[in-house]
Amino acid sequence: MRNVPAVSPVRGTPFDVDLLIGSLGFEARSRVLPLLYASESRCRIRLASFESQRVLSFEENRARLAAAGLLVDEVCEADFGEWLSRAMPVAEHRPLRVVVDVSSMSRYRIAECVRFGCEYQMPLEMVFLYQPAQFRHTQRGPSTIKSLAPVSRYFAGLSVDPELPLSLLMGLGYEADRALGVVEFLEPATVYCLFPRGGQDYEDSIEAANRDLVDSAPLGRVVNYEFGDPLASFVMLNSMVAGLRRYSRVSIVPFGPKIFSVISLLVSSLYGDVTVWRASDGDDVAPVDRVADPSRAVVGLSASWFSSEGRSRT
Amino acid sequence: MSGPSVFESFNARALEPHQVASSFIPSEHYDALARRQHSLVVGPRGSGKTTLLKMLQPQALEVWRHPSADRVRKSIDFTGVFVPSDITWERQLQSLDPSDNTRPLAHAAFTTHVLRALVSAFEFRAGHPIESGGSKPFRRVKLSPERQARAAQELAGNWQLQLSIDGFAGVRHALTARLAQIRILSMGGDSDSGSVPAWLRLPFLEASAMALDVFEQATGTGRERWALLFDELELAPKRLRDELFQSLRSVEDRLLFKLSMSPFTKDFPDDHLSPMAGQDFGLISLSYPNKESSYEFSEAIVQQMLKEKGFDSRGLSDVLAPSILDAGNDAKFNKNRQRAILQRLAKNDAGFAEHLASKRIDLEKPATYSSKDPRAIEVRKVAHVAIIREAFAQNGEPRARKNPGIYHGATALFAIVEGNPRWLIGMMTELLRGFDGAPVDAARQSAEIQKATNRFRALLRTIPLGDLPGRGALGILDPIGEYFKNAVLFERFSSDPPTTFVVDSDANSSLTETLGRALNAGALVYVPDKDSGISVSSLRGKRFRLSFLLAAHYCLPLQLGRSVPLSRVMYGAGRDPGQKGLFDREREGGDDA
Repeated sequence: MRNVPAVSPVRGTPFDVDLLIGSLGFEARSRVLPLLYASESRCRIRLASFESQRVLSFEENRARLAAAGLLVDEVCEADFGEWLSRAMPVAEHRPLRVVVDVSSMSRYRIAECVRFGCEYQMPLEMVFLYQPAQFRHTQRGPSTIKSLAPVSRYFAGLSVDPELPLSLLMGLGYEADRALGVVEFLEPATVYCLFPRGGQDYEDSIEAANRDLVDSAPLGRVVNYEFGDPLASFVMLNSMVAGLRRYSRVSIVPFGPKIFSVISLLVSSLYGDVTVWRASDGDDVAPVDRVADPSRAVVGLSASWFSSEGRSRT
Repeated sequence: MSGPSVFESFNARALEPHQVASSFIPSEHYDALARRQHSLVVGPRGSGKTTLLKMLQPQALEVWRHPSADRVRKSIDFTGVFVPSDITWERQLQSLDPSDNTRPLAHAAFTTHVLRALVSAFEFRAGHPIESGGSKPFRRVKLSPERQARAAQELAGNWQLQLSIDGFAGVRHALTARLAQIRILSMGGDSDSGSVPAWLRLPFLEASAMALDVFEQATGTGRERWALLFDELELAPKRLRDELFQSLRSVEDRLLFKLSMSPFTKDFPDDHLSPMAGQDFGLISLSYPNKESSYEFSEAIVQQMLKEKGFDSRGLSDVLAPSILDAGNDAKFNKNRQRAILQRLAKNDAGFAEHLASKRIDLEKPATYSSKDPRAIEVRKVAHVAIIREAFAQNGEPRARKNPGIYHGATALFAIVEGNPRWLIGMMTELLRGFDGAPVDAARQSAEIQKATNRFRALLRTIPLGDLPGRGALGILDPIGEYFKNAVLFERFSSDPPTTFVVDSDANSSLTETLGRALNAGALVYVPDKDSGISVSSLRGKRFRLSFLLAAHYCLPLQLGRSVPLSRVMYGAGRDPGQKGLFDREREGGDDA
């Protein structure tokens, strides 16, 4: 049975939680929220590392987390879902409350977290938190793509009317012309570009990386969303999807900040036929370290399943 | 014709049949496809495969008003059933089955999809209102609601469907519900307690044939012909693809199979049991190795677009300000501007000067050579390459010029779009925006071509590598382009520099598969020998050129040049010595790609 979430805003970093799920990665910011929760909360903290790209801040992160007494499990992508299930504590007589730090999490793992919520048969609240990074002009030129596919089986969806035209909701990110290439590859009938707003440096960089696509957009086809207001972005995206589904198949490609991936996955989980895509980089793409920006607040969105607000769909 | 930009791309897949028909221009390819035989249409993206298939549907044929429409309608004695596909649908099918493959959900979804298309065709023929305003009913039948309801019940019984609405519409709705059920099954939900529904293994060909029996019996039409029109065959699950391809050998006279696919399919069956082009099916290629072959069709499209804007009796050469390349067809030698360019080149390029001298051509003389004079013939032969060379190089070094105004004008545009309707319509839609009759200037043309090239390169960069090593399509195409650029611009002048390559016999499968993906995208064009057919599975030993859409990027001429082995291109470009690994053919049994 598959449950749909009720989505609500999050203010700051809630510490009254049962568990934090995070990552040990090569970005310096991946340690920020785990260390914060280690010092401010009494929750359990479970961290999963990645099999590859143990570079940049990876070793420093590992050392700092170990110094705080935090243990890290080595988990490959394919096993993440199972690892997540085992990590969940049992909460009796109240909803389980879990923080998911998506800052340095892969999009596949974020998808597995949302899937877990949809399939979990007990009341559950997941608070998705995202730590913005300091802007860094990385001059990331065009790069290859290893695979372009639904982020997971669960979010592939299945259209019950494949004859309908395809509408594509294209999140914009930093990779030059990548969104343009994906649009050309998927050949949708209609495209909407979703442009994250929330910092001039970031906006300039995204605009430069997507100039050809944005410049050719007819009026109304570039839709801004506020990076710092995920609930409003969720409502906006859900509204677009609900409208487009009436006469087209809908796909979302959530390039851009990871919190937009969360929003896309939550919207998709409300339906059964909205595909959420992921593009994984080719080997020519060098990892980039991202440091937490102390001047920017943590961004969050809460999803509750099987609670008094949630409802069962099937 | 509409389709202003990538935001609403001109793609027949998204269009209703009547929309496709409203602007359809027939061609020899369409006539070949409309014949009473199995067909395989092969072409890269945007070449018109989907449009051609959709134009075999009754919904399109009824509303089509071209002067040829009546002739075509009379000649088509089958009912076309279009079965659409795209990458999104294909990825969804791929995601359906759990890894243990105990439940063939992808096969069931595909079957359901085919049967829906078939029932939609039944619905149209038996009951869809006839469009007013000049429609010509095509293969319509009379069927009472009672007989239709009985036929629908019989279909439902055979296909194990629950009908909540009478008639063919009810069957279609039930099949839609089945797709929803498949989706639930794929997520682990099960309407029954773990049992596998029998309809999961319904074979689509047998189920389709049975449905035709039911329809014929209900309508009393007798034994009729139907054509299943499968688009983008390379996207179908492999087992189904093989089954469809073997169907091309079918001698069942009731069912025709008309399949479309990209030029290269890695696991295309190529054994002695496979269907043979020319014997079992007609093979239709939508590629144009020689650019002139596409001009007539392209011109017809442009004329139609102009007519829709109220500019009758105009052609592309009326719309676009000419470039120096448009002066190439005049028989007289003394075309001043072209001559001036060649004179400049002769002054600055010793190799070119020597070449002219060897042919006893003196560009300084004011005399006019007759068109049959060998010197005039030679000048016409070298002019194109010489113009490119003069525009982009000086004394063996690159010129600092952003846009020397070469790649524009009717001649260039027709070559650049490669007869690809999608590219042509996309570009022309932008160029004709605000058109008031005055020719579009060179700068705007160049800008649009540049944009189209950029979009194309963005696409090539996006083609997923999968398990292939290297840097993808552009990782192979860029060294090839640079090699040819070097030969055309910077090496000693040649009247026939290399601009095509032959894939070595020892090229490994990683390389050939990457080339195949570039071919399917339209970045490479197969240049067959006179007697050879189109390539669908084996690239080794075959000759290719880069698409002319990439010519401006690499500063190449818009014409075929002599060929060189690909290994020489990759080594000779001075690239990563690791590229030599591309020619270490793996020991793979049965791999002939």
